Amino acid sequence: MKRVQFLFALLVGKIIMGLTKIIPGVSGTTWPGGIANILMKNFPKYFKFGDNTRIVMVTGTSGKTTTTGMLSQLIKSWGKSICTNDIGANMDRGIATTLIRHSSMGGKVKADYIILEVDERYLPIMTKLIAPDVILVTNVLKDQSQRNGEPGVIMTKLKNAIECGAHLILNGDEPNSGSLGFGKEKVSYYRVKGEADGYDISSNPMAVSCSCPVCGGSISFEYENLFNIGKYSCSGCDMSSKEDATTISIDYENNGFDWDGTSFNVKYISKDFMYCYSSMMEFARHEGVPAEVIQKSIDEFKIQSGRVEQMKAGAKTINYLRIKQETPVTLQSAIDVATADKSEKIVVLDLSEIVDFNPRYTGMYYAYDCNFRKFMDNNVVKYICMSKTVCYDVATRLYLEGIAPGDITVIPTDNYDLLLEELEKYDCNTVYLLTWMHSYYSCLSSIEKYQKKAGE
Amino acid sequence: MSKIINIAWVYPDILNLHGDRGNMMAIAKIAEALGLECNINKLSYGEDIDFENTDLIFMGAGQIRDMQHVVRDMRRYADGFKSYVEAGGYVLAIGSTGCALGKTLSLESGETIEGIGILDITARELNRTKMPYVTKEVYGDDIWWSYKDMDIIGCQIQRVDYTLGNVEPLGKVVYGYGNNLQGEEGARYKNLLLTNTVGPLLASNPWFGADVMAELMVAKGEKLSVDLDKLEYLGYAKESIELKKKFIKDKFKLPGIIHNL
Repeated sequence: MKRVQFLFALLVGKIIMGLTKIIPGVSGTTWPGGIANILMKNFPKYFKFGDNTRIVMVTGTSGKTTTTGMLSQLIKSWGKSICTNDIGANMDRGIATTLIRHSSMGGKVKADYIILEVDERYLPIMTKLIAPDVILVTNVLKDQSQRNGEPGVIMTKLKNAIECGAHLILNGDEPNSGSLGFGKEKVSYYRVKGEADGYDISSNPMAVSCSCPVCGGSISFEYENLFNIGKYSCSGCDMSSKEDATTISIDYENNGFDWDGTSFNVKYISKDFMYCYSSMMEFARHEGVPAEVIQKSIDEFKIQSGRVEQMKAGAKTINYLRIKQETPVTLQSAIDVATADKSEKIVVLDLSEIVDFNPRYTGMYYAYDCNFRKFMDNNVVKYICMSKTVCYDVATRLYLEGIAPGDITVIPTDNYDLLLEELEKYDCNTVYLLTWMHSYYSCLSSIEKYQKKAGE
Repeated sequence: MSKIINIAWVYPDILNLHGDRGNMMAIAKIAEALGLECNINKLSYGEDIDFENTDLIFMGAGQIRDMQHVVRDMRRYADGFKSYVEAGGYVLAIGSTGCALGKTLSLESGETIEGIGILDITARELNRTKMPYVTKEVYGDDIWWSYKDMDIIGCQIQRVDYTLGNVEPLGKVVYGYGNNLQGEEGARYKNLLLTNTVGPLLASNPWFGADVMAELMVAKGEKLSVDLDKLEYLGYAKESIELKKKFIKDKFKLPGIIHNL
């Protein structure tokens, strides 16, 4: 009976998928999986996989989509077949939709590898429906407080999920992720070698770190590559960065990284990408992927929707750096990218109200977790804080870091036309715009208008 | 500057869930604007608070998972802490830290964590399934409350419901969740102040920080005028609160949201 019910739900899912391809504006939605899930409880559980199919789940706070993309490219470059939710639809509906897309009418998913990006809150649900061979965790950090409250909530969910017996690939530089391997036999780690950058705890009396997920003690970082990710040790127990991890060293001169005596060239050199590369290297080692395949896959990998885009508005080059709201690690990464450019620049901070869930609210406290000191002595000629709600709070944040009010301009609007007008007042042509995804389209539209007006 | 304020910043690495360090960054500037010399002393687990020479104890918000560790360490000096509070010493505690200062924290797992009991409040881990706009474990929103003649606006990421015993609420909710959706915000016992307003409360509401400092200077036998004109970011804070009031008023129409304007 269950089989008949499953086949019916699958058929309906496939019909809806067909319809979404021909109805304008709904292509790529997760309706097929959503409706199949309604028609049958635990729908993904009833798909069939090949005996040798490897199932991999990628989860964590940030870097899931990029890591899933890299692993998928690795498998493709290896010549294997793959099923993946590479469009980032990582909850129950999205995953069901992916399986519908890649399955036969009988519900058989034919692929050597199934690589699924899974939202961290949904991992306990998904591991009950589909048994993974490998779970890769990118990191477990402060994120979407309105939904998650605190990393401890997510850790509780992940601890339940990893009891499924899968091999764990964990971030050895991030305390929460690293602690998931405690007492586990099937576990390996990855790291990125770094060094203190002069903005560490000793140089800032207001600097803080985080709590140890094992004993509750203070974590101290010898260096942080990313927010709360780096070489660490705990003051209260023996938790520390994993020395036996697969560790890559960034080679900035040659745009690449070194691993185990071999150099790899990459397109994307930022530290958040390096953690994705490092996790991919550990995955490749675990799965026995040859080194030449790894370089080929790195060459062929392209990010789908970038967190870094360049736009031209007249003489100005606007470097758009996308952040995820309420998530300090993404804001800190954007700051790191902007400050890596030592040339003269204008920095625009468009942190707005949080709109991910209802009720919308004006939280921008995550900016206090980030290190804005890096902008000091970094050739910033002007800071512009814009948004309808929290622009003055952002200005306060900058001021409290030591940036003079005279260097800060506040424009209480989310209208990019007004930003472009403001930018015209300055000779500097390099602009870094730190903002969130939705602003991207508003910004693009304003630039198009601007260019039309200028006859470009 | 001859007037000095000594602040003990307790467990800064642990109680920093929502950028709470912003309060210490702000208080240093507020103190400077009021002509005070501000000494901030960070204290980790195992370190003792010098109660004799402390004017204000600051404790940010932490993870619920860490409360048992916080309480364990606080027990070392709980008697001294109680004496400090009973003698009128000032404490500013944020969010979940009320669980450590209160009597009990009841978790959804059935476990109960006993706090140091200096504040007559109890906490219950949030598990709301019927309330709109809330996940099971957390309610996140703006909070607007009144304190004396001041408007305080910030954010609330609530993981517990607080029930007050023999203590007064700190303020009255104008909009938001407060202690438990009943219109009361925070708690005050003598000069121990607990608020649910997380993150950089004093950065966004410097008048609140100035008022606390004025109170404690008076308690020290010194006069202090709450004149924030020298605070360079006061203009930002004033503009900000007006933008937020407008934003929050637009939410009044949402069902299930409490407001008392």
